Amino acid sequence: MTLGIQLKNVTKKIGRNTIIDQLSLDIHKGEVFGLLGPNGAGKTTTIRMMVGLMGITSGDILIDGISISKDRSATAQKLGAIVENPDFYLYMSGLDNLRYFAKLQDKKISRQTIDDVVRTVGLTESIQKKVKTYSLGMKQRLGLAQSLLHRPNVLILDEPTNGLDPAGIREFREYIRWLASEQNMTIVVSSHLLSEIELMCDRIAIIQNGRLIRTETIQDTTGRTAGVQPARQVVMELADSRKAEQFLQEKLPTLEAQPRGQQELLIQADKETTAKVVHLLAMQNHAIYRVRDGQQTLEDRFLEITNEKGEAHAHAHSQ
Amino acid sequence: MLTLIRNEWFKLRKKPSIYLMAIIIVLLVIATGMIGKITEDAHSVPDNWQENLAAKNEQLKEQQKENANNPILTENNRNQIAVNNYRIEHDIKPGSELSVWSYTVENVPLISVAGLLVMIIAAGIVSSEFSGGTIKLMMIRPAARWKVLLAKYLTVLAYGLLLVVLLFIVSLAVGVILFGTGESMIHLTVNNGVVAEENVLVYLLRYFFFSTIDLWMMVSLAFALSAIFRNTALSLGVSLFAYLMGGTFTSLLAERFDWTKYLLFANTDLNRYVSGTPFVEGMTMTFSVVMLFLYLTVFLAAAFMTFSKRDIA
Repeated sequence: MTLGIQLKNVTKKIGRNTIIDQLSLDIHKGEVFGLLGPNGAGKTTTIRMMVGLMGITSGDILIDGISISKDRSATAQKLGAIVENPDFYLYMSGLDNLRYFAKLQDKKISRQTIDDVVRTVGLTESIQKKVKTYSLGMKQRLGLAQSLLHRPNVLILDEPTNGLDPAGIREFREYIRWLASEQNMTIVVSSHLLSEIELMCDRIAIIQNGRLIRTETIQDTTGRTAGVQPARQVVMELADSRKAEQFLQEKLPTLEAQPRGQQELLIQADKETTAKVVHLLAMQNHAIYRVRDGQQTLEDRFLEITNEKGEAHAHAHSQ
Repeated sequence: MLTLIRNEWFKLRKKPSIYLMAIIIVLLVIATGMIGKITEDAHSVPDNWQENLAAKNEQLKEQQKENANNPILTENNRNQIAVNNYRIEHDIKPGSELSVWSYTVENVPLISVAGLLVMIIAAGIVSSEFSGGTIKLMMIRPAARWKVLLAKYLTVLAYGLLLVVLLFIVSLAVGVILFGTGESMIHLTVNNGVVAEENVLVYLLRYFFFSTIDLWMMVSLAFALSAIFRNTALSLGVSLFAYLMGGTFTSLLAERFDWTKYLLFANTDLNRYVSGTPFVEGMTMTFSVVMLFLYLTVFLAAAFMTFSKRDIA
């Protein structure tokens, strides 16, 4: 099986600065892949190299098995992208913009296809208006439309939900998930909205200082499968966490419970199980001070990882 | 490639400014026509024009003695005397009565106006894609970068050609309406004191074509700067400055230095080789054509190399 996108030891140097350092990534078909990193980490540079706007100093990027450095034209036919802001010709209508970009594609794109895409992104009513009258959210929709015109296999979206309203974001997310699961598209999303990435992506990569820090599935990170309500981590504060754990082991052998310090107990439980645990402990006269959601969000995880590495990095430098 | 050029036209057509520019040209032509018509009486030729020309020649010969140390003036006077003699000998009335032909010739300077307008388009056609951010959506598509740039260049040239043709045709139309087709179709060309008769239409077309070369070079310069610096104001400013000041600087330099002949503006006016004198002695039409070709190559090579290689940030 060929990968949707493969980065092989990609390095980008500008002058003496190494912007991206030996970055390797395998992104599967039908996967929504999130690209995370603090400002200046190299996300946008990576995306610009994927779409052929920037040259690669060494290494290579394969789109659907085709090398971008050997045949950019062929890879360009396979991918659609929004790179940073959705910039269009303001003096032309949305439709004229789409017709223009459709004609830049090698294969012929019918008016019917354009209309279909416009309907999908929900712009049918305003497509005849000049783009200068559009809101940022409408431009984002138009941006998505232009990236889908030629039915690409690979979609690369840089900050795609900027300017969308909450309903628009949800609609967008569901559409992206649909494209990946039903159309088997490979989708790369970079965003600063970590909660967005968490809900949309199957897997994430965290980049810092131009290096890959790690890749992990959203499931690993937050214990949730994209779109499915899972058992969550719950933190209980009790008088004696060890005693409570032993008691729970007897009563509910399937429950994952782990003491943390003298007074805290972490359990993996859905709503019903949580209620049951609280009830059982209360009946045994265990003093329960507090029960709270201990779910680690992607944000927690992201800050944890980038801080660790950031400190390690700073430390290594100071020596 | 054809699709790319059509696509560039598609975008250009949506800009109101290109129609405004065409209207400016038409209005200017009509304006010069009106002014010509109003001042027409002053041009009428008296019946004793032979005597007048002879008298003028005597006067010019007197001046020649004083001008002995000014080669340009001497040359001009010598040519003027030759033309006057030729008219007297061959009984050709001075063509100063306005006809459509002389009127159209008088409109040739308007090519500079068309040039300025096309330079505005040329200076913006690449850099506006950068400033508007649309370059990203263009360059992630299959077309090779050099093809995109070539399509843009050809589109600018096509628009320039369109304006010059418009100027030519509207001039002819206004000329015919206001001044009629005139009596003779003869134009006298003088070079080195030798006078030759030429069909005025041939003369006109050549004059137009040669005057357009200047426009072509400056539009190419504006275009190249636009592709290199990605800044409309900068490319327009620099190329306009060159366009307006280049000729003056070059003629100042030409009086002192021989190497002036290698400068762009010493070569842009090919009309000098047919009638008139070159900037620096010893320059030929072939030399100038080669120089123009070299300058054009440098402009375009610089534009294509930077545009094809550069990272788009």
